[in-house]
Amino acid sequence: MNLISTLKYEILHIVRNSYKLIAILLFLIVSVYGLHNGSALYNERNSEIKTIKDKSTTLQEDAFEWYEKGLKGPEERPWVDVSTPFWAIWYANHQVIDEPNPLMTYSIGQAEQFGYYKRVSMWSTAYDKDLTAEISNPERVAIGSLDFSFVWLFLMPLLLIVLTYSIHGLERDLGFTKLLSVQESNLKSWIAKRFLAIGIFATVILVLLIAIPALLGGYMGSHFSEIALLFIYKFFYLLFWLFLLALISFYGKGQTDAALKMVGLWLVLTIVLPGLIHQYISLKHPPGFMMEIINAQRDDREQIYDMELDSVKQTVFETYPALRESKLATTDSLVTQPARNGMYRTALNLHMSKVINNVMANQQDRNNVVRKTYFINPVIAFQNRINAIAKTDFDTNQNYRKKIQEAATKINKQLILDEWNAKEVDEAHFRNYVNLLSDE
Amino acid sequence: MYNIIKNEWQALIHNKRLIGPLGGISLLLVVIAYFGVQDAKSNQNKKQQAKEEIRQQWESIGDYNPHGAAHYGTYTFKPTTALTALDNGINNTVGTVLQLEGHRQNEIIHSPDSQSLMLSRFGTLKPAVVLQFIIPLLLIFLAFASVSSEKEQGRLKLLLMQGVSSRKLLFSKTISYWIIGVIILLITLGIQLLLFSSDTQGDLLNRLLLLFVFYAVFYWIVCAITVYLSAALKNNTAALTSMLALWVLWVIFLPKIAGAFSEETHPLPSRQAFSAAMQEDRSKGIDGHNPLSEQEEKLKDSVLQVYNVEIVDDLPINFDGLVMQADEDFGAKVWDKHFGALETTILQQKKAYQWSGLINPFASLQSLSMGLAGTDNWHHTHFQQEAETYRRVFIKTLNDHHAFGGSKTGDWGWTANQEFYNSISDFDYETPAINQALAVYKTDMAFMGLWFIGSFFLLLFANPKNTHS
Repeated sequence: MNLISTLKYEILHIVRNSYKLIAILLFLIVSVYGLHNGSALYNERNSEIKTIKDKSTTLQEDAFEWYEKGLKGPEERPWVDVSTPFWAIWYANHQVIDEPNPLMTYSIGQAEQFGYYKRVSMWSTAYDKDLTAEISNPERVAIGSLDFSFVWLFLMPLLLIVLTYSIHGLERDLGFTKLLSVQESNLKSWIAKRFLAIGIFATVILVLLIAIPALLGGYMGSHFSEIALLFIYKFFYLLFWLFLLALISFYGKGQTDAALKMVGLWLVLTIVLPGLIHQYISLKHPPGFMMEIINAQRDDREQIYDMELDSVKQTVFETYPALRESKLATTDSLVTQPARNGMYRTALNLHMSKVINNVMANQQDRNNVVRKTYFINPVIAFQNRINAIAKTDFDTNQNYRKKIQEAATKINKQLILDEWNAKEVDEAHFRNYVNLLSDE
Repeated sequence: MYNIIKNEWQALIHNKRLIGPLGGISLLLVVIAYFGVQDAKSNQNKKQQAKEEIRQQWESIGDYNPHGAAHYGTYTFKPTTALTALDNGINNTVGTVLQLEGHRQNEIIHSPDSQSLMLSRFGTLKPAVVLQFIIPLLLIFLAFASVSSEKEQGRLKLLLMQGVSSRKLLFSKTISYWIIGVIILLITLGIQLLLFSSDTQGDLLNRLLLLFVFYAVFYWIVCAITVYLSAALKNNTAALTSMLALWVLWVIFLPKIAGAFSEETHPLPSRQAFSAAMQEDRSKGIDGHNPLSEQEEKLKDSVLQVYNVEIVDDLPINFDGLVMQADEDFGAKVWDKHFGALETTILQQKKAYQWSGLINPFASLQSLSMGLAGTDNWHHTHFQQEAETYRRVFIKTLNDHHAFGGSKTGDWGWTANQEFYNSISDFDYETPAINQALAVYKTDMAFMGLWFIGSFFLLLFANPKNTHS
C-alpha cells in the first residue's frame, strides 16, 4: 500500500470510528478555544495600553496648557512649578510599555505573570511594586490557561495516542501479524507509513490552526518569519512524538500494552520530568525574596543620604562628567536644596541600577540551569522556545525590565544635568522631556 | 469477598507489567515527599532569615521621624506551612514579599514563577501532583481489565455460577484496587508526618486526616467507575480507552475550561480600572501630603475647637500626626471597599469553579487538597488580611507618636528614639485552624460525597450478566 492509499485508509478509519472522530473534534474545539483565549488576551492588553496612552497624552496636554497660559501647575497643587526640571519631568508622564506581540494568540506563556506597563519617573526601578501582573484569580492562574501552545504541546500527543495506539496492536490482538507480514514486505515501513499518514493529517490541522488566526488577524505578512518558525517548532514537536509512539507501536504487545506505554510516556514527559526538574531547581536555586533590592532601598539608601555632598558628587560626576562643567558645580553658592536632593537621588539611581543588574544576572544563572535541563525535558524546551517566539517568556519580560531601568536612568541623567545647569523649563524644553524616551 | 480480594492481589503480584510501574511510582513518591519536605524546610529557614534581617534593620533605625519610619515601613514574607511540602497549591504563582508602609495597602509581589523561565505546566512535582494525576491513572491501569478480562476469558460465567453475586464481585474488585491507592496514600502522608514530626500539632493532624479521607474517597470513585466500565463495556480496550478519556477530561480539560468559564462569568477589573476607581474614591478624602485639602481644613477646625486654640501652632500636640492618621483611616475605608470587592469576585469565581465538581470530582479534590494544605487562595487572603490589620496598627502607633509624642506641628525634624521603635512588635502570623477554612469547601465536600454515593450505587445496581459478555 502506498502512502496516499494509507492516508485514505487512515482517514476512512477515523471517520468510521466514533471514538477517534470525537477525539479529533474535541481537539479542534479546544484548539480554537485556546486560540480565542490568546487572541482575547492580546486584544485586552492592546485596549488597556490604548487607555494608558490616551490618559498619558491628556496629562501631557494639560501640562502644555500650563505653559501656554503661564501657569506653574495644577491649581490644587500650588507647590508644583513646571518651570523647574523636577516638576516638568514629572509631568512629562513617561510610560514604558511592553507592547504585546500578535503571536500571543498562539502562546500566552508566562505573560499573565508579568506587568506590561509602567509610569517611569526619576524614582523608578525595574522591580517596583507597581509593576505587577494584571489582577487575576491565583487559583485559576495556578491551574493554568488553556492556550494553543498547551493544546499542541500537551493535548496533541494525547490525540496522537488515541489515533495510533491500535496501529499494529490491533493486528497483534487479533493474531493478524503473520498475515500482515505476508501482505507487507516490511513491517517497519508499514507502521512508518501509517504513522506518516497520521502525521500528514496532523500537519494539515497544524497549518490551518496557525494560518487562519494569522490571516484573520491580518498579521501574516508582518510576522511571517516568526509564524514560520513557530510552525517549524510545532512540526518538529509533532515528529518527535510520532517517532516515540511509532517505536512503542512497533515493539508493543497489543493495543492495551501500547496504550499503557504511550500514556505512561506522556505522563513522564509532560508531568513527571518537568515537575521533578522544577523541584530540583527550586532546591538548588531557590527563587529569592529580592532582599538585595529591599536592602538597597533601605540600608544603602540611608547610607547614600548620610554621605557628604562632595562624596556623592564625586561618584555622580564620574558617571556623568558633563556635570563637572555645570553652572552649579562651578559655583558652590548656587547649590540649592533641590539641587542637593537631585545629586543624592541620582546617586541612588546609579546604585539601584547596579543592584538590579546583579539581581538580573542571578536570575539568568538560574535560567542557564533551566536551559541545561532541556535535553532531558523536551516538552518544556519546546514550550519555552514557543513562548520566546510569541514574546511571552521570561526573557522578553527581563528585557522590558531593563528598558524600565534604562528609562529611569535616562530621566535622572537629564534631570540632574538640567537641575545643575539651573535650567528653566519652557514649553519647547518640556516637549523634549516628553520625547525623552521616544526611542525606547 | 476476602477470597476475591486475595485472588486479585495475587494476580497483581504476578503481573510484571504492572508491578514495575507500581514500585516505581511508590519509590518516586517517597523521594519527592522527602525532597518536598526539604524544600519546605529550606524555604521556612530562608523566610525566617529574611524576617530577622528586616527586624534587625528596624531595630537599628536609630533616631527617626515617626512619619519617616512609616514610609520606611517593614516587610513580611508569605509563610510556608508544613503541608506546602505536600501540595504547593498557588504558592508558585503568588508573591512572597509584602511591604507594609504608610499611605498604602500594597499587594504581595515577587512570585517564584515570575523569576525564571517556565519550568512546568502542572507545577513542582510535589506528592499532591502524583496523588492527583498519577495514582488515579495507575488505579485505572490496574482495574480496567478487572471484569472485562474475566469476561474475555469466560471466567465470569463460571464465577457467577459458583454463587458469587455480581454485586459482591464488583465491590470486591473495587476494594482490592482501592486498597492499593489507600496504602500509597498512607505512606505519603506518613512521610509528611514523620519528617515534620517536630511541628506536629493538632491542626496538622486534622488537616492530614481530612486529606486522607478525601483522597481515599476520590480513589474509591476512580476504582468504582473503572470496575463498572470494565463490567459494562465489551472488552479491555473499550474499558481502558473510556477511562483514559474520562481521566483526560477530568484532569486536563475540565479544570482549565471551568477556570476560564468562572473568570468570564465573574470578571475581575483590569489593574488600571481598579487603581483608577480607588484613586477616585481616595481623592474624595483627606490627603496626608496635601495641606490644602478641604477635609484637612475641617479636621483642623475640629481639633482647634477641642484644644480651644486659634491656630495650629498653639496646639500642644503635632497636628501633622493627626492628619496622617485621618488619611490612613480614610484610606482604610477605600481599600476595604475595593479590595473587598475584589475578594468577593474571586470568591464568586471559586464558587462557580466548585460547581464543576458536579461533573468533575477531580476539581473538588484539587480544591480541597490545596485548601487543606493551606496553600489555596483563602489562606493566602487570610495572610494578607492579617498583615493589613498589623499594618494599620503599626502605622497608627507611629502616627500617634508623631501626634502626641512631644513634637509640635510642622516640626518634621523631630525624631523618636530607638527604644520607641523597638517597642513596636514584629508581625507574627499563624496559619488559621482548618475549621475556619472548611466553610469555603462545603460545595467540594458535598460533591465528593455525592460522587462517592453515586459510585457506590453504580456498583450496587451494575449487573455484569447483562453486559456484552
